[in-house]
Amino acid sequence: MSFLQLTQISKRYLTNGNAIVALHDLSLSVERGEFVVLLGPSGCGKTTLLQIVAGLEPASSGEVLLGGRPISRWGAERTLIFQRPNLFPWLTAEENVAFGLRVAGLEVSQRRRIARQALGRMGLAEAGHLYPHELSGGMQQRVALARALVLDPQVLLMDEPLAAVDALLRSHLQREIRASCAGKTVLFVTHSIREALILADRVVVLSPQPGHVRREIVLDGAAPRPPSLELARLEEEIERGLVIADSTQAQPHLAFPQT
Amino acid sequence: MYKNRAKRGRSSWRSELRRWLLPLVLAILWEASARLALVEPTLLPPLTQVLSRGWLLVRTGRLLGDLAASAWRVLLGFGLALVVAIPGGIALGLYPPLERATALVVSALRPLAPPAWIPLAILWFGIGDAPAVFIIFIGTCSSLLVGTLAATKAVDSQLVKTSLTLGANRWQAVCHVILPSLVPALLTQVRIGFGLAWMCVIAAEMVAVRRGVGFFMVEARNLFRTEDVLVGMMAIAVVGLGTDRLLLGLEKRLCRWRAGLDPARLYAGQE
Repeated sequence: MSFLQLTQISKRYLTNGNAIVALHDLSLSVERGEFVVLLGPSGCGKTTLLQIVAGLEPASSGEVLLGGRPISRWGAERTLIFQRPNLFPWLTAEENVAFGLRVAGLEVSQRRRIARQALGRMGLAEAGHLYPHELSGGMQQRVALARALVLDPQVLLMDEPLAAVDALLRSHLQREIRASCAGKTVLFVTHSIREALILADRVVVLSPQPGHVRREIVLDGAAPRPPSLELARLEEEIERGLVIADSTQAQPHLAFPQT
Repeated sequence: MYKNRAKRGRSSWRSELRRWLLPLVLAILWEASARLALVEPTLLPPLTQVLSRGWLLVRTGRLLGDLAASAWRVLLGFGLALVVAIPGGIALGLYPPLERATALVVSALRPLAPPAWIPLAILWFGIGDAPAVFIIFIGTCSSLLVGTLAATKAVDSQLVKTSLTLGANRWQAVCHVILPSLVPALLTQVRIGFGLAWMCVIAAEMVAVRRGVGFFMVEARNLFRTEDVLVGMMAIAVVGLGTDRLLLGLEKRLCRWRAGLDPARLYAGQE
């Protein structure tokens, strides 16, 4: 039994009277301490899958087990980081990091100390008193990461956290994410093949409409990986596979943006 | 750096002048047209005469007594409306079935102007504070409710979801995310509502009450004391202006976190 076990997850919903199947019979298992990247084009249900694991949306059928027990509704043990940093604009950076500790009932002095340390580890020790609108996009996303990490979640869920970040900053943040998530169980979603290959212990490639697992690639070596010929070859191979798979679909190219 | 500060000093002096220019011009026009008898002085007495009359009424305590009576009704009626409409609006926003169930009643009541309630208020409550408070409550409650409801529905759902995955329960999401999100919109609602409440109280006092600024003005009209009518109007304007400034200051304090739109910066790029 794996640490996080998704069994035959399906998700159907109605839009304008049309039944949409977002996910179909998707099974996936993640070991404790594993960094798994879900890779797939838009519309393959990656985000829906994370929302289901986070408990923000119910699955139509199937089961999610964490540590052998079915998940209930949302909770801090399955924290989700969104594409947008979603910092609370009325709280300073430090208060944002302390938010989860506050709702968990920690004392002010204690949560302030923890939040400060967490910001320090992100290189944001000086930014604690600033409001989100005074921070750059990259800083905001690091605050969001710190805010999730101080809760020490059993599974950290990340929904394309770097999609809106520029390329230079992205590789920097990729290093930071891997460094700060050492030993943590992570489910990370991206549509960038390269990002998946750089970050993951294991890449799970999803196909769209309805979303299901196409293939899994176990990568060796410590992540984040420096660029190499082997990675480039793998990248091309995955891309070709996806394009061929998608050529039967209506919009093959739109479905898979380049990075 | 220093040059900048000097520039800012001068421009603030100028903007202060710009602020007072229009009131000053209007005051001079008023005074002149009355003094030169361009208008009948019994219909529009000169400003200085109105001001000195006002000062007399302030000193004898008559005006302040009436103002206090009106202000007390406004605070009571509007306070009651806030207590009902803000939690109510949030509840309607968070619970759509409730909104659907109340939608017809709320939209039917809203276009009923506050004065339309006056006859009923007198029948129910007679003469005194009660009908005035009731009319203020009725006149402000539904628009506050609709404003709060709209603001609640506009709260960023991603922020709410984020709080949930950080371990908040529903109640904590309401207290720690939805309420703070609503603060700017609610302050605007309160500012608009205060103006509305003053309209209601004057309307009510003109028929249903024996004290208050509205009553003072009606009495003055009956005695053909135009200065007193104008003193009453100016008193309302001054109190309204004061409250609005106070609330604006509060908004500035409470909403420091907002980036906001800074027109000076917006246009700076076009220089």
